[in-house]
Amino acid sequence: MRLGLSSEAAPAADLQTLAESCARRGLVALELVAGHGHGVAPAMSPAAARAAREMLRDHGVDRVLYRAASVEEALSPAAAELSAALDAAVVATAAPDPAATESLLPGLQDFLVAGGHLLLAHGSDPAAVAAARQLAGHGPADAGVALAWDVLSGERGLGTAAPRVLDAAGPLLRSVRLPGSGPESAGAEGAGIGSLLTQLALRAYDGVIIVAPSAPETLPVWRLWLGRRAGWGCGSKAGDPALITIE
Amino acid sequence: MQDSNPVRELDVRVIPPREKHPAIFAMFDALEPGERFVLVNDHDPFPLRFQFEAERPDSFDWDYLESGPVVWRVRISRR
Repeated sequence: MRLGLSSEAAPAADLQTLAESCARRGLVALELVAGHGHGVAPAMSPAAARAAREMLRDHGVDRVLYRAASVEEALSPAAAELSAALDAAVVATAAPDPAATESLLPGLQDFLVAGGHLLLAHGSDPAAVAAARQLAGHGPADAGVALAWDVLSGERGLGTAAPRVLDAAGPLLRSVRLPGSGPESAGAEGAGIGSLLTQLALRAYDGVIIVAPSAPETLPVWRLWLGRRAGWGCGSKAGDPALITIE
Repeated sequence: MQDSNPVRELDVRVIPPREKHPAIFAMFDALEPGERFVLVNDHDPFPLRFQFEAERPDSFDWDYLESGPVVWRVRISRR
């Protein structure tokens, strides 16, 4: 598993600042949410995208996700070009409705032919995972369509949900997004994150774990956290308030 | 010798503080003899090693793969 940062943690930050934050925290993946201050967008030229990719690699970030604003944007020709030039997977939320899923197929084929890589995001409902996997199955076996599990902010019972989601997603799962982690992790006790991570590790999961804020109100904590290089605390230090600064 | 075991990596940085050690021991206890995993942490987990020595004596091997300054990686093998 490879830990990564969402630009949701610093929506106004430029790409260089995000890259430096990742390096400071030992994070090797980066999720770029559409519309944030990083400036990455489907309208970006391929040359600029390649330069961004090199800069990120120089900071140790070797996996990049671009979270599109909509499925339509995700499957656009420009997004496919961005995906190829940035070597990034484009993340789009799959519709649980099979009819809506079918309507995406022509765009998906064009996207894949243009060299794009797609992650279909779904929640913890196994039916949603199955719908996403069905759509992913329409591409060739190694065509670059995979799945992303978006955990909801404040969601509980992850240890119980994990076997169902992981069984349904199978080897296609490439991303797990955890809101309320990072500097907020102490507040996530009892949600089942420890069990989820253990189950992922036992399955030799080598995708990304994206840490993200739970709500905009927590951004000051994230700003502080991203600027520091320090331990997040472990069981033996959980009572030490100096390790995690929560305002 | 080629290692046929898949790389199992447990990055505990994302786990709530009080759940880290239980998760690590749950991971270790799920291994068969000869299997291993890589623990990833943001500080030297040497206190955990003492806990292993106390609670799982003579049943593990502990090898540092990376020792900071940002990330520590320890391969924990079950004997």
